[in-house]
Amino acid sequence: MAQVKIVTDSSAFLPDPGQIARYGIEVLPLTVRVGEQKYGERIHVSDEPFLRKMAQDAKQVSVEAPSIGQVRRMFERLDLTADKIVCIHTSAAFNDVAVVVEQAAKSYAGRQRIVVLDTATTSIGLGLIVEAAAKAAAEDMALADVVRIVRGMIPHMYALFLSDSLEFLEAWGRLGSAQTFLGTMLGVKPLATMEDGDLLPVEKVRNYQRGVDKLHDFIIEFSRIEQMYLIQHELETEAAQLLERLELAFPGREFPVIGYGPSLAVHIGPKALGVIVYEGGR
Amino acid sequence: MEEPSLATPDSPVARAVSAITSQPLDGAPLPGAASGGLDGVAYCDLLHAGLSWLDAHHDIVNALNVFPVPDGDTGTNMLLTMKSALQEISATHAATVGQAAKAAAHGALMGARGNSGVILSQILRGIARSLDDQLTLTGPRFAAALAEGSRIAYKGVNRPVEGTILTVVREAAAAAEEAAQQDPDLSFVVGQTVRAADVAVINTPKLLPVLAQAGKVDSGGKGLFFILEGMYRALRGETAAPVAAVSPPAAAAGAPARPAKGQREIPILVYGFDVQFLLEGRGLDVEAVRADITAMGDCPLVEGDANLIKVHIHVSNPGVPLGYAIGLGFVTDVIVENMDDMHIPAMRPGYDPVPPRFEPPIEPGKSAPVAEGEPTLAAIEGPGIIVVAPGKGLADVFRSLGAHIIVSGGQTMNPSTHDLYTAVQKLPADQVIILPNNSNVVMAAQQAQGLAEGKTVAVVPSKSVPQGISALLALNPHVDLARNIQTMTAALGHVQTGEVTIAVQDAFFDGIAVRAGDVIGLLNDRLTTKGADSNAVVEDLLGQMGAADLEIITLYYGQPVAADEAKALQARLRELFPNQEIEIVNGGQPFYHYIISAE
Repeated sequence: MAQVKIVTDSSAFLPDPGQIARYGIEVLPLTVRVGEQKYGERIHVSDEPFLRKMAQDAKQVSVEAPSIGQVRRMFERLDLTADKIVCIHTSAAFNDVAVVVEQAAKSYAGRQRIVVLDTATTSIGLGLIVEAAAKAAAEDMALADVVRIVRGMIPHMYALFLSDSLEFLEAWGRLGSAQTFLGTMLGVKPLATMEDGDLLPVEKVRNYQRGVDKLHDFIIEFSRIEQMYLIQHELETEAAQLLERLELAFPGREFPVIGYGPSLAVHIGPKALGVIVYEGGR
Repeated sequence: MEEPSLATPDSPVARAVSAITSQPLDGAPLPGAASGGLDGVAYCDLLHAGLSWLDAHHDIVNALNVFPVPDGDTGTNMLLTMKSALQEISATHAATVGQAAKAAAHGALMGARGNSGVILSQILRGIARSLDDQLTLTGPRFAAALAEGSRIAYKGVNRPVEGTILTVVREAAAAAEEAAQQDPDLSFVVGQTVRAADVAVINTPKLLPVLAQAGKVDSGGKGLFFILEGMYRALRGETAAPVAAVSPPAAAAGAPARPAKGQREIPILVYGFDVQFLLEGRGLDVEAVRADITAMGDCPLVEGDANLIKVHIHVSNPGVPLGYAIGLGFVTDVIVENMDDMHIPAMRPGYDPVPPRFEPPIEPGKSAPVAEGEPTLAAIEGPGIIVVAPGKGLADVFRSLGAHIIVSGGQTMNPSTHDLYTAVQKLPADQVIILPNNSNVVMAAQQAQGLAEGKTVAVVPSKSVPQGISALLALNPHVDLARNIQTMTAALGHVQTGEVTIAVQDAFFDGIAVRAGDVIGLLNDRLTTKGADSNAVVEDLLGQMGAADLEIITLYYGQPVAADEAKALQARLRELFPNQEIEIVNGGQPFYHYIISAE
């Protein structure tokens, strides 16, 4: 009996990129659009040209879900080797990929057992879940057990992002343009947290120093942190300051700093600092 | 024809007093005489006399502002608070002094503006508690009531400061109690009270160094003194109109002049006319006249006999009672005073000329009636936010940051407790946070907080616009109220506030000599610099703030500054501080060239 096959999408960030080959993880590329040009997002690539373009004119860029045809072709291909598939995807509030995969999976209901899971997180949060699922599959665990592991991790994943500008909140339709205009003039930097898969603006700050304070306060409230990653682009100094302060609270612990690609950039902007915490199962 | 009660008195109170204490017109005792003292109507007139006397002197009180900045003036705030008290009594037709005092206390509570107005309203509340079910006011009752007023006022302040209106009311009350032991006569007791208040006011600079430094006495204490003195003068039958300024204004140069009649904006008729006259006739029916006059207006007083009736009434059209009386007999000694002309203080441009109006009382549990044309507020996620902001631009900034109701005012015209209370009731939210954005509005906000029924209201004591913005940014609609209050209050300290304005009077403060008309700079509410023009003062303030080590500097420019000027200043500051973000925003506030936020 073949192993459970793990599918994810390009917004995932795996702790070790080598795991993709080692565990045979299938990565569905999201579709990146820059002006008229479209290409598939590459996992673990921050895509500097995209981020630069975005900083110039955010309206020129977007990230879309793969087409249903694309997903069907993937299932056709996997049909030759796998009959049990767990598709683990980024939050539906960020990208429709889980919805498209779910639709495509319906056509294969008789031939393959496909379970589609929305992790309500993204980036390294999604990557940590995919890693755990892939390891379980490699140990020949049953599909139901792999699904149970994924579902068990989702409620313990937390995230907070400090973004340079309100502009990207506006892009999700959470703020009116007049508000964004004034807020941008005032140099307002929003903090947003992930809750039930949605990115919700919480507080706002007017300088990065205060933003670092807020991230720090958020982190030290956890009584237990199994894994934690900082996510950063163009805020190296602030990330270093945050790590320095965390050294006092968590002496000797290493927290990796990673970048992010287009699929997260369209939500937090090209200049941001965030944290994703996995507090561990109970 | 003999005019028994007209020899000396020319104020309504004096008439009431003389009617009660001296010769009744027909030899029979009049209401109130049996127990002795003033009834509700007379108490109303007594407070009215206090108000008129304060009105005549409120410029003096305003000129006592310690800081030479255009802010909510103590005299104006106390005057508006007293007016609100009087308006409420007029509307209630109180017969007993207890009822009148209660009405006055409620009116003052709702109309309270500024910290001195709030403390005044607390004094009136204590007085009302003490007089509760009393029919009339006597010397000992006055003393006990003022003592309770003092107690309540002290209780209402978190950290009572001596050398303020609190000291004055406490010492005045102590003198009143002592006087009442010697002689229960009301006039004597009030006289001793006024004397003690005067001494206490003179001593305020000894207790409060900031006053000594400014060479002034406490303005709130002085305002209270004028109210008491006005009452005393009325009891003695002296006219309420100012004969001459009793004490020379401390800094008359800075006090704004009243606009001359014919050259001012016509005040709106709110209080109407105070009408007094004597009606002579044969076989007059006092009961019928009283019933007819009472139906015409507020604060009615109709006393007399079949030959002579004395009438006092507040009406919107003096022709109505006069026309009525002329039809009955011979009308003499007509006094008609326009109460709106009397009361409306001379306000600088930028003030809201409309005095507080009373809306129908709001029933608990029901939300306030929404004015027509006003959009109904949409459902609110998280707590409802009320902010006080001077100027349209600042209102826009607060709205863009999520404020639901903007109460205009702050810097110059302080909003009343009632303004804030109405806003609280109007918000479709169970939890409400008020940002007063001015140290002189914090107490009124706390009073509104205490009044709110069926809602949880919190005040984050922001003392400036930048503090208010800092607090509002810290709001997180997804956590509970207590948590938000904690983080928002902590955020107040994250920002420095600079203000640039014109000195309204001469002053010497912290080693800086300021002349009226100078451009001055305040750092976190303290006068720290003056300069040739607003640009120079802004640069000074930024230097004092240590701007070179800060991240963001925002200048909210006000009405005295044109947009081009502000842009030019921004360009200059960008050269001086290349590592800082320098933003300019049209704040639209009156009087203040710039409000600076730095963090």
